[in-house]
Amino acid sequence: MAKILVAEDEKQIADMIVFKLTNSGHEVRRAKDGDEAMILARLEIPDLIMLDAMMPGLGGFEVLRQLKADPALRAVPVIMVTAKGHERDVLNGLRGGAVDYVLKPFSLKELAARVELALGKDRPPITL
Amino acid sequence: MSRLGITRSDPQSVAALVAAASGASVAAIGSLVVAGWLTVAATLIHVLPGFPAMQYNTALGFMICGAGLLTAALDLRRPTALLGVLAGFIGLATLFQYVFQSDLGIDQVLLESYILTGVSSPGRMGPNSAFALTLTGAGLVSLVWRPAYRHWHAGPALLGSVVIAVGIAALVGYVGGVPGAYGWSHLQPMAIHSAIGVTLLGGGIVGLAWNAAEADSREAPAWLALVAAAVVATVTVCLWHALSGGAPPVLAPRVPAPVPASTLPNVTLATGLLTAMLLGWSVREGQISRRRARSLEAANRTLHEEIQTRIRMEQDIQQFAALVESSEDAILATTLDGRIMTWNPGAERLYGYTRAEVVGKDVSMLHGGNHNGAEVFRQLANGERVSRLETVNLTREGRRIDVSLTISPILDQSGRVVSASTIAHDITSRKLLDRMKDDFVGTVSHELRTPLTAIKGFIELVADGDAGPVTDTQRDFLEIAARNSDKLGVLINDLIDMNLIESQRLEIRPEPLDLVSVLADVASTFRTMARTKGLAFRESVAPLPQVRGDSARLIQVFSNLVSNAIKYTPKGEVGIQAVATAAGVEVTVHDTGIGLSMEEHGQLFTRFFRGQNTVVAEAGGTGLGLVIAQAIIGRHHGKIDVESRPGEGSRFRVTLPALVPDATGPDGFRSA
Repeated sequence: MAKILVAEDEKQIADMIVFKLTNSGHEVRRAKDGDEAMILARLEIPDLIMLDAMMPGLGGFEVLRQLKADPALRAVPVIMVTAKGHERDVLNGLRGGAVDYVLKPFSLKELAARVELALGKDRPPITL
Repeated sequence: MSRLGITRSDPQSVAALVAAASGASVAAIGSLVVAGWLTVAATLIHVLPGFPAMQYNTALGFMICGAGLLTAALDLRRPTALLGVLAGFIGLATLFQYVFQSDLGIDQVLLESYILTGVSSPGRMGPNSAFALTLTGAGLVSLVWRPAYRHWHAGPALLGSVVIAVGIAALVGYVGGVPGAYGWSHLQPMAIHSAIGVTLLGGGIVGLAWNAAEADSREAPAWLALVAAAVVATVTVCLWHALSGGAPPVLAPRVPAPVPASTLPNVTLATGLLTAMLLGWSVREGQISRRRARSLEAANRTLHEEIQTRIRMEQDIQQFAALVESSEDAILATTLDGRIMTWNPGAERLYGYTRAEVVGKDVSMLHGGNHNGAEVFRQLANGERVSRLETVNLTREGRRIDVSLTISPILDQSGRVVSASTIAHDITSRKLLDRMKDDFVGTVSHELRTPLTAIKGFIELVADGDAGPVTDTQRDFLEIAARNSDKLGVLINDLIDMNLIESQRLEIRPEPLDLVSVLADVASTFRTMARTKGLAFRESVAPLPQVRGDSARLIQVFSNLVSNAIKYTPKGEVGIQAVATAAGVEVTVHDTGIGLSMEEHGQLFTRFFRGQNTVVAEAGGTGLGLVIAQAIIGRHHGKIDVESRPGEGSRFRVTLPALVPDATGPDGFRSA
């Protein structure tokens, strides 16, 4: 049982992830854009954050940068969710300190498995 | 360099030809008369009965002088000098005998004269013939002597002209019935054929002198007037002398000269000398005016050519100007330190500045600050061209425009770089399109994947029972839906990968990798699928050296090969083997499926290629998988090839280089 923040602007996708993770026994908070994600993250200090790369306002990568710059939040593991096939998006995410990334469309079972994995570890930002 | 010769390809050899012809004629006359003397043929010696005889020595002298003219015309200098000296000696010796009234015994040295003339010693040639022979000999010698004086040809020419005059005077005597003109005093007269021969000899000498002068200065000799005057004057003096019945005082007349009966000879003399002077003067004037006309003509021709060249150049310039003016591209010329010199309408349209606003200004006003000016000018100074430099320029309104610049050095005639020309082509719309394409791919992939994610996710939630219990039939149907959404996902990924490959933006993340685990991953995914279809699934993976690779991309490649193998194999087996080789790792995916024909082989790795038969049609697929696989393996510095026969299955072989930790290049691969 962990506290997970899901930042996703697509309502149905967010519903789906929240449903699955709640069913898996986690406590889930949802943010509909980057700014809300930052507010909720600072307020709640979750155990894991899932960030959609493409969101209105603050994008996922910018949120990731701010999270890793915040001493209170930099240890929280982040999984990036991206619909872009570009390798550089994935690299940006991993360089910025995300522990994992999930490419849309994804399998919910796989997503749930990656969440469990990520909850067991966290990573500081690395240089590739 | 020949001065006299006709043997060389000398353009001024007409005079030399005339001289050679004269020489040959005189030599022939001499030979005939010698033959006449030897055969006692009176016609040859006298020509007409009662005419004076040509003496044997004269005939010999003609042979010598004629030969001398020929050798001179052939530019044989030594024989010419020798013959000239010989002729001169005969003439001079004879004159000596007349002057000193002695007999040196040369008159009959070769042949005893059998004709008694009654006017002089037997066999002695006339004084005028001796005089002519002497001058001819001197002329021949002076022709080959050639002193350093610029007008040296005038010497032989004058000698020749006097000889001509002596001959002409004698001829006039024969024609006009004035014996004193061909018989000086009452001494031995000149025979008629001697007169002809002497005239020819003089003409030959003048001709050779003329030829030499023309060879030297490429124009008619300046002394022509002098020669013409000398001929007329000498003829006049000879005629005057004949008419006045006198003899040259040195020639000691045997009979006293009769007293002149009238003043006619003196009038003739005065008129003749005046005529000679007038003739000389007019020939001189003619020459000068002809030379002037010629140089004027040459100047005119040069001027005309210059004008034509100017006109052509101006036409060229106008055509170039029209090209520059009508160009859609901006064309400008700058000095080497970057000041704008010319500015075409294309530049006005592109940058928005008028000609007056920019000429004299620094070209950097157009640069957006990102143009490596120093490097460009270094290349220009070396005479190199800068081709298709893509950069951003600023317009008058401050708008940034993408341009492709071609900057060329402009050279002066000595090849020095003096200025630079710049052609700027507007590529803003092309750049915009490129960016739109990039954005489009990103947008499309996002827009397609988001709904697909929702479809897949909710099907999964229902099928897994997260939303409540499901019946078996419902689960079967949901699985069909899930499988199709997976296919759609693969299709989208393939299209995006293809786009990346085509725009050369396919990136891979290489890291040290154990292929055994990658292949185990792939096998575990497809083992069940093969067995469900009733196919045997064989795996044989030996321990392998590490490679450097992107595991997700390599899984994509092997998954594609194995899923293809299963797809196109109705019965039998599919399999995956891996062995270590000398160079690295070799992975083989084989099947006992439908195989490929020869044509299909060739097209296998081309876009959208799919087999032709029904199995293929049922199996579905985009036809992009192998192209993508080949690109990915290529980016790993590996190779992919295939062996296949229709009905006997296919064998795809992938080779990847082994990881050499110490010898990896910046991209993580062994440098080749």
